[in-house]
Amino acid sequence: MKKAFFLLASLALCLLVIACAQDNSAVRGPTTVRMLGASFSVSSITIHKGETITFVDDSSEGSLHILVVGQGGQPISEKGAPDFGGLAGERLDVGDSWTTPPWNTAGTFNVTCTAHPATMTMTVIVV
Amino acid sequence: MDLYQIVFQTVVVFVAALFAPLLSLLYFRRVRLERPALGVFNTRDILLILVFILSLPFLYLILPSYVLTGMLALTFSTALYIALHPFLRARYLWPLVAFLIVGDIVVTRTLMGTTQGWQIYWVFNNIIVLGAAVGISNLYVQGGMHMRQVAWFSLILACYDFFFDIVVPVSAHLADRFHGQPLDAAMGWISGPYSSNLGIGDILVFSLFIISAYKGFGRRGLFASVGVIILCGAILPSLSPLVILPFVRGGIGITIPVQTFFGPFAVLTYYLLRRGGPERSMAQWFRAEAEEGYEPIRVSRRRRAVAPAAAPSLVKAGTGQGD
Repeated sequence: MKKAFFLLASLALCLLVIACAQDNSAVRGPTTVRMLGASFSVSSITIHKGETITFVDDSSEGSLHILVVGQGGQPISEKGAPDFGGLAGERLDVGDSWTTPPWNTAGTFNVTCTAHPATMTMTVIVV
Repeated sequence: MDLYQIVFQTVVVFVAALFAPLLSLLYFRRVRLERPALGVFNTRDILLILVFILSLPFLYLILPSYVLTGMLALTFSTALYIALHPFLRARYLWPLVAFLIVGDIVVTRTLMGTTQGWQIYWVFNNIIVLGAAVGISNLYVQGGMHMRQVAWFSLILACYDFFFDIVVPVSAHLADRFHGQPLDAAMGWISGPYSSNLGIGDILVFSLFIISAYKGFGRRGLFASVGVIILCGAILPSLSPLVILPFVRGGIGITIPVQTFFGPFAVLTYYLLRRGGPERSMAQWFRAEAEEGYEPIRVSRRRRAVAPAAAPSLVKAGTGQGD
């Protein structure tokens, strides 16, 4: 009985270790952020390293958005953030969607829209 | 709403609402355009313009963006040609127009991820819209449009603005769609997190109002129209968010219901001016100018080719309708 309990406990521990290991290395499905006329649907989002974010410009309430890494509509170089289309920014018209490259560096980053500088800045926390 | 945004918006709208009309007035004083062979401007022409202005926003919703950009490029090219052809020969004029139109589109596609890119975009857009407003307003008023027609035109736009902002609030949504598109039909500026603009419909109405008031009632009309534009076209609509928040889109700062304030006062101003004497026609204005010995410094090249005499006699001979 004792032996069986020890075996079961060992198996459970092994499964737990495998599960934790998988959780750290696996790339989960893209996280989605909806964009309305002049706002993001969330002000902050937490993702794991290697994950992507999909920005969806709402087909009924959206407008033109130009996404860059930065704050208050102004692009700011944040080391480790993925490329958002350089000088042109990532341009999304109504109904468009765009998935970022993977966020491979842990840290806190900001994403903003240059078309709506006063109301569209959100935080991306990569853990 | 951010107080700085309101101040910024007031300044931008104030400049746009006054600069384009005053430049149109200077143009009116100095340049004689070739009058289109369509006779005098009448109510049917006004209705056609009205249908165009009112339907333009909805084209943004139904047309593919490249078709819309093509239409706007064609429209603005024609308007810039009208405004600039008294000054420039075709071999200089068309490259300049092409530079402005193509420049605007290229900047829209390549630099809008930066504040400087937006500012370059607004420089191109402002020049294009300014040129278009000056050319078109002068074409209409020199073509015979009266202040009475402009005033009623703006009152109809006021009803439109009110209905689509307050009753069925779609104007803000439509305005969002134009923002940042190539050849945006507006004048505006961006600085840091603040941005604001004023649509070409409002700018065109203000330009028509000032020129037609000056033509119809002289200096009295000019001062009255400038006062009404400053108060009801620039200051009241910009400050209205302090009272009525939904009037302005926080993120973009577009002053949408400008005509809602301006339209009723435009009609009132017309009838007040009318009490002081009848509105002059274009032909009467030409005669008054000729009596004072005034001659325009620029005349449309084709008109100069027809007869190099003074403009007033040309117009009377050209149309035979005396406006």
